[in-house]
Amino acid sequence: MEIKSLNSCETCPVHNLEGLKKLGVDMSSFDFVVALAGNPNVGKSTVFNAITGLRQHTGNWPGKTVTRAEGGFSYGGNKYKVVDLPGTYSLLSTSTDEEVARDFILFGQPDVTVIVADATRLERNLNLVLQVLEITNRAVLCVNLVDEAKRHGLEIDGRVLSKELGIPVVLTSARQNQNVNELLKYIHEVATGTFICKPHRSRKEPGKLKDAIDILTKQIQEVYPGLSNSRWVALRILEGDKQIITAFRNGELGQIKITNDVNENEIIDSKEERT
Amino acid sequence: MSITFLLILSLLLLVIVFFPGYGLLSLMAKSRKGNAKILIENALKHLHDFEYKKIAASVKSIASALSVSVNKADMLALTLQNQKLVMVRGEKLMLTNEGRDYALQIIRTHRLWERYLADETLVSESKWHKLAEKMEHVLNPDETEKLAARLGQPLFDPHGDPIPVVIGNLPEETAATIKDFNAGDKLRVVHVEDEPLFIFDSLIKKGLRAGSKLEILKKYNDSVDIILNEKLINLGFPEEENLNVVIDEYKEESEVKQKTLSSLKIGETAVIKSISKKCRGQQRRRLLDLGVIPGSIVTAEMKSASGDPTAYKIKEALIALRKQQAETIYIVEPNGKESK
Repeated sequence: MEIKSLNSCETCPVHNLEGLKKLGVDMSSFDFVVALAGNPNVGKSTVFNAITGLRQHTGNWPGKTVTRAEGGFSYGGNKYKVVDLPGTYSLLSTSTDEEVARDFILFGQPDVTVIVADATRLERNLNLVLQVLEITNRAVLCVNLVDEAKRHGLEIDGRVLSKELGIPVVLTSARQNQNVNELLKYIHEVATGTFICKPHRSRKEPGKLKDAIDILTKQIQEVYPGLSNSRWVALRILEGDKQIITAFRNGELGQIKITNDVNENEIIDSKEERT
Repeated sequence: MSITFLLILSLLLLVIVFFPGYGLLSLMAKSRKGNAKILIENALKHLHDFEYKKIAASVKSIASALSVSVNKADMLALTLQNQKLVMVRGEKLMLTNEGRDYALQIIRTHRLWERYLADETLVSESKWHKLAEKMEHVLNPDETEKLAARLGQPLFDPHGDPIPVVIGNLPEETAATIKDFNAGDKLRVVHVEDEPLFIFDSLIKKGLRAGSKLEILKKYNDSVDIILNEKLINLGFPEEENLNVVIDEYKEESEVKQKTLSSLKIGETAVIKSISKKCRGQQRRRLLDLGVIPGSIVTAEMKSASGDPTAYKIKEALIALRKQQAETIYIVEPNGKESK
């Protein structure tokens, strides 16, 4: 894991607000797209407001009744477009919300996906975090509501969490505007490739499915040789995920590029998992 | 139109009609054979059904059971006799041992297929019977045995009917219905008749299935009040008739019902065991995402004023679940004990 030394920034008495410009207006020219994901009620909108300002563009996702908020900010000379995804508990689509969120991350290929989590419900929130990490390499975890956690006597160790997850972790209290600057900086670093993420990916698979996945993965790789998360796709097909099956049929899957340093064929055999 | 053209055309027609294996005549013959097999097998099923119920079968009964003309039924009976599957005694038709075995094979396939649909697919209950009716004629004995092995050699189909073993007979049928018992009797459902479909649907909606435990509260002329899952339900006479029940002998060790989350009292803690197969699709997915997975610790924190829903703490967060949902979640006590 490579992190540029933060110490110079942290000990600097003057916050560098220069690079931070809240535009809040939908711009046609931008350099990077940032997706904002997270469970409902984690303060996603507050984070969204904090980084884009109050003026946002709201509408609908095309063809769906789910609302969509877009905004933007400027940092380090780059313009970032922020897309607020619907609050979801997971990306395994069984509802339109989850479909929209999953499809945007998987097919929209945002430059950075910021996952907002609730510091007081971290265990439950990590479900979505890990799911996001399965389909993208470029993510930042924003653990929000730390002020709330502190009131309950909870303190999150962001450093250890970052080490375990392989992505930057920022502890924020968006409503108090605490650490938002750090969040923007990490977004910038991940987007520009300054920070290279090595996302933690669980390789546990239900033992009973191993044979089926092996067969299917081989066939998927024949059709899409460049696809690096073919095992994930295989699992989705076995689940009967309509979106993925359609994408497989019409070639959309070929557009997914996730550089993956982990050798997909190294599967850590786990004891049988039941769901 | 030239003569050559006509010749070519007629040649083409001849090929289409007479081509071995794929021509129209071949296909028609195949489908007739297929139909014939289905009719024979259905006739055998019917004969076995009547034999089991100790009713005499005849050509007329075959005709009405299979919805075919008496002539056709007569021909069927003849075919069955020629294949030594049936003996004719005047008006009565009786299965030979081979006939009975054949019938049991069909029934076995049918019930195994229903088991498969129930256990491994998301197909809804009301469709099982129809699908199995088709499949029973399609799978050969080898395929059936592979299916049985894959399902773990189940003994009962999802309606509670015994699945015939490879060589053998069905156990004695208990055909008692609620009318054979009295108020206060505690009964267990052993079979839910799957036809007619609308009654089956109605029973399923009310929560009745093989293994359900109920208590007769009060019998009326054409209906009965029962207690099922701590709820008062009324069943009309046709519904009553479609339920086979036996007296439920409660035994400490052999309690079939598993402990569910709905039984957790406020303040109590338990460990999630699994989610019932009854809970599927979006609901199941949502429960899993919220942390209702094997091994999770759950505490009942508080009940709403009306008693339903209840707030449960799971994965350090509170979620509200209705009783109906909590009933589909199996739990064990934290020290590993479970009432099984």
